[in-house]
Amino acid sequence: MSNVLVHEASSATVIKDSKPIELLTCRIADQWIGFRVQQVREVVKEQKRTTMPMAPHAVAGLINLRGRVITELEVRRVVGEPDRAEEEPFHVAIIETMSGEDFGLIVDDVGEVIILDEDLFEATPSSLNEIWRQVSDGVLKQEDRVLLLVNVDRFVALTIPNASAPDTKEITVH
Amino acid sequence: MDEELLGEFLTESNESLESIEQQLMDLEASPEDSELLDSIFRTIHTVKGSCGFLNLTRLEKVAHAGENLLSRIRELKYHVDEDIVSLLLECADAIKDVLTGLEETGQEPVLDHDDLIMRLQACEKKVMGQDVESNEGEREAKQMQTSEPLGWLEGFEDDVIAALVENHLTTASSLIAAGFAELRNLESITPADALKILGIARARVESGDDAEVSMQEEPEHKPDKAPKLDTKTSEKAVETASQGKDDTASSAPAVQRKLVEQPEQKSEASPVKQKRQASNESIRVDIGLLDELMNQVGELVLTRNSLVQMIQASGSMEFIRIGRDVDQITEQLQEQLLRTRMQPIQTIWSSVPRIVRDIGKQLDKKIKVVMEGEDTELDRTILNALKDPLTHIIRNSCDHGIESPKVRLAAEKNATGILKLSAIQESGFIVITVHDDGGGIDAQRIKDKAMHMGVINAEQAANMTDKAALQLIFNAGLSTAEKVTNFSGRGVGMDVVRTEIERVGGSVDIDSELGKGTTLRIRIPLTLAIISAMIVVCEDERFAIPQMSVQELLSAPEDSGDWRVIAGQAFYRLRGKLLPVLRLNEGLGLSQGKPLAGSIVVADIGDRTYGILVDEILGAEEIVVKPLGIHFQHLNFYGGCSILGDGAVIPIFDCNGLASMIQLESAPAEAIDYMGEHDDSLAEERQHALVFTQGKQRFVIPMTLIERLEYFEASRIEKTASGEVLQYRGDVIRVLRWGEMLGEAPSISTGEDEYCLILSDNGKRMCLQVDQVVDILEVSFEIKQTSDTPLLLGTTVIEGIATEVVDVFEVVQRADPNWFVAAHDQAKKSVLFVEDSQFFRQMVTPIIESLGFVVHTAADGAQACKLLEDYSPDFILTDIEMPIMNGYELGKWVKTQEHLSGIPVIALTAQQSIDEQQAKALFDEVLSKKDSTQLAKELEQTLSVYGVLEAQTKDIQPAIAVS
Repeated sequence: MSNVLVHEASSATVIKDSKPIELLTCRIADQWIGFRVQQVREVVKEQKRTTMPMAPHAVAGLINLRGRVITELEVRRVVGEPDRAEEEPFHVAIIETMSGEDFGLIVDDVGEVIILDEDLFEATPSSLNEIWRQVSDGVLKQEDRVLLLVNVDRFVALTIPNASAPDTKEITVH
Repeated sequence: MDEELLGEFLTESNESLESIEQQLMDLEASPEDSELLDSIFRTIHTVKGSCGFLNLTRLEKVAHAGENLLSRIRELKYHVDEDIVSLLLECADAIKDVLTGLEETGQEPVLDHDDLIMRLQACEKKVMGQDVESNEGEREAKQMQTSEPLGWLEGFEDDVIAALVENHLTTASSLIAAGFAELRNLESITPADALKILGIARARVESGDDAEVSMQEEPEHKPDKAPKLDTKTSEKAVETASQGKDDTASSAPAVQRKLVEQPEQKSEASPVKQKRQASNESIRVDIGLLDELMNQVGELVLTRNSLVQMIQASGSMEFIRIGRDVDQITEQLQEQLLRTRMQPIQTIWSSVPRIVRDIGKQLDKKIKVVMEGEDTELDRTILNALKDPLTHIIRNSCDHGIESPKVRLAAEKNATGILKLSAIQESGFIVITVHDDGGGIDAQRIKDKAMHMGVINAEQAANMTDKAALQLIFNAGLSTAEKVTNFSGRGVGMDVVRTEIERVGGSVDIDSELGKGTTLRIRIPLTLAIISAMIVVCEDERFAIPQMSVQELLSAPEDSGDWRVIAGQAFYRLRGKLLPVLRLNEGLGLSQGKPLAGSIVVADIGDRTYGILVDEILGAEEIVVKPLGIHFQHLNFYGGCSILGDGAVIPIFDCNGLASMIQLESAPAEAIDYMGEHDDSLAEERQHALVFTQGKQRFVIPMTLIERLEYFEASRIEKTASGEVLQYRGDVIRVLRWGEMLGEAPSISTGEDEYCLILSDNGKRMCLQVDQVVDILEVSFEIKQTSDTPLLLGTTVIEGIATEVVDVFEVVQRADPNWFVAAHDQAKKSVLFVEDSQFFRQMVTPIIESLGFVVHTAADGAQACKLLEDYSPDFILTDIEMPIMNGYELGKWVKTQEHLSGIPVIALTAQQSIDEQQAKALFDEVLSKKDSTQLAKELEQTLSVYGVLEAQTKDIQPAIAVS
């Protein structure tokens, strides 16, 4: 329960389980990614945010989601994209992780829920951005885009200070 | 495994095992106490009995071995020695270990107890061996008897019966209690036999024929007092049963009949049953449920805050009324729920005697544990967090503190060391002290060690007070134990203790007197979940600072003239000392290089005090503490977060963490000095005072007795037959309205919120309601014009405005005429009190009076001399710094007067630095101006030394009444 295994990018596995999986697609800059629907609690619009001084770079701040305090993570900052323009709208995907803590991932746009056979996913190509490779469970090549299946636990682990060193194999999440 | 059943078993076993340690130790002290032994036996027996049902074979074996030993001890009335108690304690530990494992995993843990079991068995043999000669015949006879009742078990081999007897399974109900698993585990019993035996046993119990009260269970029971009546009867039943078996038993009197029907349940369940009866009014609630409930009430509080804000904005009277009801109900709900989570500190203290015993035994020390205030209650979260640090502290005290009997005797101390634990509640805090009367800690050694380790430098060491040096033991890696023992002195520890305690918002400090002992003092908040916090603004961001760390608030404009910057570190001059100030904006990296201006929150974190510079202070609010996520775990200056009434999230600071942002290396000695000592008294002639208005008049009241400034809804003040009262922090306190005291007509309540000053002194509280609070200022009580009104001392000038000084002692006495213990009627001795400050004269006089003296006062030395020409008091109490003729001069003059020889002269001073040489020569004692209680105590002490009080002290308890 408390251990999140972080694989090295090269050994990222595609789970050979031909069950269909449901993905929520989101966009960050030009990249489309998919989160497993079971891990997405809801998608909300911009919330009143409290910035936390001295917080790690990836942390946008804290929001109050019906009485629960949730840490918002700016996905753009994690993958090294420039910050979005001030007036540009965004969405927050509230995701749950194995540690039990929920996070709000800030994404530029939310697409749709798609149902796919997991077999269709291929290993993450090495041409991909280093960070994306670290958090990806595989890619799906579609006609006009490459959809990245994002492992949210690994993604969150990357944003935690002292635990995001690339050689870290095992991260203990409290 | 049936989870519900298992849960029930765990709860019950844990409950009964809780007391077994203490019982075993009591047994060690009085091995002849058969009742105690019975109770211990029953506990182990119950555990063992339940194991069979739950198929806990390993646990059963351990419990069984323990039970056998106990049963022998009981049987032979053997007096246990230390070793047997140790062994039995070990057995209880082993059982607890298994239970813990079960609780965690739901599975019986694989633990190797073979060695323990063997030792238990060996011990059993030893117990038997010693008694072999005297009891051989008796026992044989008994065995004969015990085998007899199994006569109803027909058609089994002899060895089956023998096996049952050997395992004390001599009654149908004990067989059922043992269960299938145990039976089949017995050698020479096949599973088929076991089933058959159980079947017969069950039928027998159901038919009510099980007349054989378990022989082994209650054989030695003596007839006892009323509650134990059943044992007496069962003893009779044993006789009956062994004489004539079934037929006789069935003709036994009805009352016996009833008892023997369920003998097993009777003997096993009685401790639990009694407990249940005693606490018939309480139920067991799952902790998880309570925590969940707590969370929800937390949410309710937040929602209430939003609601109240909206309602106030609406302006509708009707809404406001309903809002207030909701507000009050929520508050009560919150308070009461908090109370449900409270547990007495006893729950974590109960293990202390055992720890101390074990250490004492190992190190050959004699240590006695004394506990005070075991009933003091704390939130369970805090209790859990306290357990480890407390254990560590206690180990330290036993290990390093208390000396071996030899050393103690050489130091002319009692060979037995005393470890004293006490817990008391002190306005929102629990103060736990652990005191040992051991060798104490050498501050110099700590300094040397700290210097050696590079924690402090030589200059710092030289400037450090002993008390400050002692606090260094909370630094990582500082352990002065010369020898590393099993228990402590491993160099880790006290720093962990401090961290753990701080984590739950507490603080810890240490005091020690070489050769006399050491005292550790832990101050901890009553509850964590909801705290009162000061909301501050820095760079347009809001932050919450827990009120329990806030000592006072200062307004510090740029031009105040009290700012200093030394080596880049900002300081603020506060009452003559330099307070290091953290620039919050810079500490948090929000902005740089802004001028030093704004408000300062003075934070007290136990061993030191520092200021936090913020832009604005918004006020205090009750907030619900929520944990921060994993991204903030490394930021030790955050203690959590909360949600405000407007729905925004607000970070809560941890003042201990914030303190580490201040670079203290650069702090000058003067500042270190400030941090090292506490100085919340009225050591200075300048006083902090609260200015308020009533109508058009301005009044000032010293802050000394003001515990808190509250802003209450008018409806919280309730009318009773004897006047108005207020429910405040669990007390009902008297409310006096300043306006009415001054003779104004009672005002008609407008329903608006009211300012209430909570005055508190030594455990007593009262509430003074005033019109408007203006400010808290530092003023000198220079009284320009005295007043005829008894409630007022006179007029002073504050900020150019004439202001009346309130006689706070008169006020508290009006609230409670017994506020100070009434003086006695004996022929009173008299005192000359020389003091130039009218304020102090007025303040100290009632204290001396409360000691039973008539007080004459003089405003300076010259006046005193004049008075003394034809008056000899029993003693003279004088200020040192005075106009015209100071204390030293007065002292000199007294020495020259023959009729005044032998009269003690005691100096009372607020100064830190006095001319020691002169003082020693002229005064019998120098006391410092402190808070009233302290002063009263010291005066009393001093005076009894000089014999002035000897005739009177008998009935003087503390000078000021403690309610």
